[in-house]
Amino acid sequence: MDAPRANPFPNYLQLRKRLPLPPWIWDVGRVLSVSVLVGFAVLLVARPDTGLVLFWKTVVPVLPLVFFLVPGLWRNLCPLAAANQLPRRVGISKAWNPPAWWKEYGYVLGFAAFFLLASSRKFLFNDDGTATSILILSALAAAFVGGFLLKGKSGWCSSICPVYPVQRLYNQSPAVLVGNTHCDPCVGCTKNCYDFNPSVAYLADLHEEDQYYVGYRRLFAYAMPGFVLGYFLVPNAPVAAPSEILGRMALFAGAGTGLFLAAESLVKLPLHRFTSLAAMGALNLFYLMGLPAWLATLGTWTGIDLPAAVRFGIQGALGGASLVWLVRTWDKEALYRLMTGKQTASQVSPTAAKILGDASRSASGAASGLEVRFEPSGKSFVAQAGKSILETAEAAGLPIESGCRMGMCGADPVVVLDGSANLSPMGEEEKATLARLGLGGNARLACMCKVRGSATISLDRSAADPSTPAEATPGDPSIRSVVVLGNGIAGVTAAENLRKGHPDCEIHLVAREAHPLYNRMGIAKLVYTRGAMEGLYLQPSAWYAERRITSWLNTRALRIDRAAKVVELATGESIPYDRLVLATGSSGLVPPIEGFGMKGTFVLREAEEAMALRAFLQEHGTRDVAVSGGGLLGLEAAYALRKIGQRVVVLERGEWLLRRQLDAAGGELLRVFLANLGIDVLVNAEAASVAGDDRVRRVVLKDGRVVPAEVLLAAVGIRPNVDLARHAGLETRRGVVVDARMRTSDPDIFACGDVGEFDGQIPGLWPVAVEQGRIAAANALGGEVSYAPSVPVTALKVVGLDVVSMGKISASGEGEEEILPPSSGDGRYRKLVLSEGRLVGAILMGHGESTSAVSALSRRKADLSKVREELKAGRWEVLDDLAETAG
Amino acid sequence: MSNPFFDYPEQDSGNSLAALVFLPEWGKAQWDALMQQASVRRFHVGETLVRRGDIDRSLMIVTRGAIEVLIPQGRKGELVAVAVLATGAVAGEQAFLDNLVRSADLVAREDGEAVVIGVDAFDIFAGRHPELAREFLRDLARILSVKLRQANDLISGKV
Repeated sequence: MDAPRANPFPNYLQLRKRLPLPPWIWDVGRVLSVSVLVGFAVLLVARPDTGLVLFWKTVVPVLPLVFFLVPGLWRNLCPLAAANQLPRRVGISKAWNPPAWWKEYGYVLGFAAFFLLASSRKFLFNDDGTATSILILSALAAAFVGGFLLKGKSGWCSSICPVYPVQRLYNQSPAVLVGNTHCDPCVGCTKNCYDFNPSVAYLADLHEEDQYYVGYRRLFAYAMPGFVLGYFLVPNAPVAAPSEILGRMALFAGAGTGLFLAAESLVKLPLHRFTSLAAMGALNLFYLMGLPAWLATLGTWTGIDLPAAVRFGIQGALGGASLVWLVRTWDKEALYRLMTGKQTASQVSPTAAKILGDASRSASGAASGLEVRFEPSGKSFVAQAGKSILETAEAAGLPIESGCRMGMCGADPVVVLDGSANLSPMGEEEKATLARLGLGGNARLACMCKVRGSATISLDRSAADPSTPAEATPGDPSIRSVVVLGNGIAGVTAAENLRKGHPDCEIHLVAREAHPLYNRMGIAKLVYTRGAMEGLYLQPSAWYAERRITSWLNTRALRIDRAAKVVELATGESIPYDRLVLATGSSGLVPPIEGFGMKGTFVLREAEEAMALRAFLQEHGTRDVAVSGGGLLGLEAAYALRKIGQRVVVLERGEWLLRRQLDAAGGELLRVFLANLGIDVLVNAEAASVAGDDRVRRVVLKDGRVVPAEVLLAAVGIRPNVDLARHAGLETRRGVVVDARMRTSDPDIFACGDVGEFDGQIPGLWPVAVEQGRIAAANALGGEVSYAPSVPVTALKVVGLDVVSMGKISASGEGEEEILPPSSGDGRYRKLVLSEGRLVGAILMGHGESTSAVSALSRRKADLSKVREELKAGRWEVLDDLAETAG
Repeated sequence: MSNPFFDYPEQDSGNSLAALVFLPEWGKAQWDALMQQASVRRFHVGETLVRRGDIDRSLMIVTRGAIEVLIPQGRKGELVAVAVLATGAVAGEQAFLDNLVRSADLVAREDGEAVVIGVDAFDIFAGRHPELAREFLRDLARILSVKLRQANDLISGKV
């Protein structure tokens, strides 16, 4: 919910006008006020007795109250201000900038004049009509001259006007804000101008860095209460001589100043508290001492003798109003300081700005004019040509999941709301995955969309069109029921393809795990994120129902009765089948480590195991963990454990990490990369036993080294779940043996995914499971489809670092050579292996830009002998051209 | 030093942006290295880039334009601008570091762009360039320290 946005301290240009007054009203007011003042000047000479009482004892004493309550009204109507602004109004002002000394000391001159003139009332002006008249006319003339010479109000009103310091002291929190009507336009003539921003002008003065500037204001404020008191206590002429009056007034003002300075030195409060107390002290003293005389004067004019209660009432009300004023004035200081304490802002030097801007632009490449907009957040990013939507979203920290990064797992569906033509086109695998996800026309997989132009993408898959189920061909009527055991990607792919190939038969999907299909590659995240399974599910909840697939989650298949063609469940139920597809997957291999199974030992293959690990870490407040196995899963788990604050040691049996995918140099770079993330890797390290009392405390290695650890996570491989098949008498070795059609030794039983062993291989890879699931389904329905293992390209994201490895990773035989460009020194690595000049293998770490060209060329075993020198020099762009021309 | 309440119309409003630049000593090579892991977000005037309470841990470095930091004030919770972040300034560092929700609203005051790097992307950056990551975090700490000093000054009442 958005809170209303407000500016607590609006300037006069932002103030809301409450009264729709026409502008000329103010001019009329000013003509009147100037006329009244000139009238006084005449009256004071013609009828001094009346004039003096009327001017000094009736009108002037009201002014402090006006400054206190509606200062803006006075700023607009003051006759001296009218005189000052007349030259600007009629366009004859020179509008010079005031000189530096004027800016510095104008205020001081003003308050010095105030003290001098106000003191002089006691021996001159109060009793001398002519002198007062001259004073008034001189002030009018001075204000006019100031406005004629200097710009804005800097010639009088906001500089040397003797009444200005008094106004500034009292006008800090007006009861009614009246906007400035003089300055159109504002010319910025005065620092911290009251007329510009009335609510904070005084605060701004006090928060200036220049301590002299602050000091002038503080001095005036502190002098005022003593001065006011002195005005009423020091005797007038002729009892005291003018020099004595001035001297004693100065003593009063000085004593007051001293008291406030002493208080300020002793009491730890902001300066603003003291100046505002001085302000209200002076104001209240003035009316405490002066009100009786003013009321008496009023009585002589009106003939009404007001009772003392009226006086006390007025004084009490003023005291109350002063308290309100103090609270309001103090209250806003914190907010003011907050809002001006904004040194968080920055203005970078022009060169630094250019470097930063250039870097961000060069990263976005030629396509910098293009945007990718992400909904529902509405965030727009500069399209970085060649980067996928997934990479763009990940770099920005947007909420998106990832899995195989090959368009096969379906962890990252997005919806293209606009600009689909600007994305790389959809391939067959992506299309199949989206169909499995039940997502139609406008959906894509983020990892497969390379950005070529502007697009709008929704990360909310519910914005997608539903897919239209494919036209089903009539199925074999002799097949009435197919049972699929296993709800992983192989099983779900098989079930989906079964339904596609057979619209009528019963399909039962029996799964030991309690979850519908989820992104198994993402389970390490369960260890360190708080979202639990959120985002890991790969299917909408209605998926099974829409395909009329009966799902049995959290259900254990107990036995396969091949003779009766029935799967018996541990629940006591049994399901008859005409065809059976085994997709029971694999479990984390429990290593032969002595003591494994003790509290604190874990394997990581299923979501429940990841969540149990997270729970264990919290329950025991562990600090040290060891991960046995430096494969992809082990490293992802190590990273996850590091992210949740554990000290992690990875135990790698071999001489370097990922020995099947990387050479020694690449493995070492990966080790350094992980060390930089705070993950230690021990090579040639194999756990022999775990030791501890009630739970794991340390891991003992085969060479005798001891690693302190409260958790040992084994990620040393997978163990196909073959027990059911073995008990049913099917041929099994490590996995269930299948032929190229995924058929087991029983022609009605098929196996696919991690549980199947084809040609002695159990790759344990997501794309393999998808392909085998499809083939098993087709053949189960009577098809004749064979599985052909694909080129062994491994594209991994090891803790965010792209690692691509294909074919031979090192030159070993006759005629083979390695092409190793100079190292970029930033943890990236690339290498090609040529045999007789032809590309037979490659390793790419952190070089995503070359991946597609290198894999295309390696599939063709392309001849690279002609570009050998360019490649050695690191100019691998030539590969893009080669891949394109040849393709 | 300029005061935001007295940004007179004739003045260049850019003057009101004080200096507190993230990683001022970095050159092209360093920024290029960071950019390999980062995205560039584009924003338009008035757009809310970050909402208080959001779960989003990415860090932003303004490369063009200006962003206002708004926090709620008083009983009505009216949003007031307490800072302006201009080119070179860093935003969102609190959630980036403490894994909590966003502490303030960020609203674009001008059209502009910001480099955005998520926590996981930063980890990768740190893995590949530990020395740059150290400089990055150290300077982020410096900026937090400056802000902490300002907060201390506010609390002690001596600004």
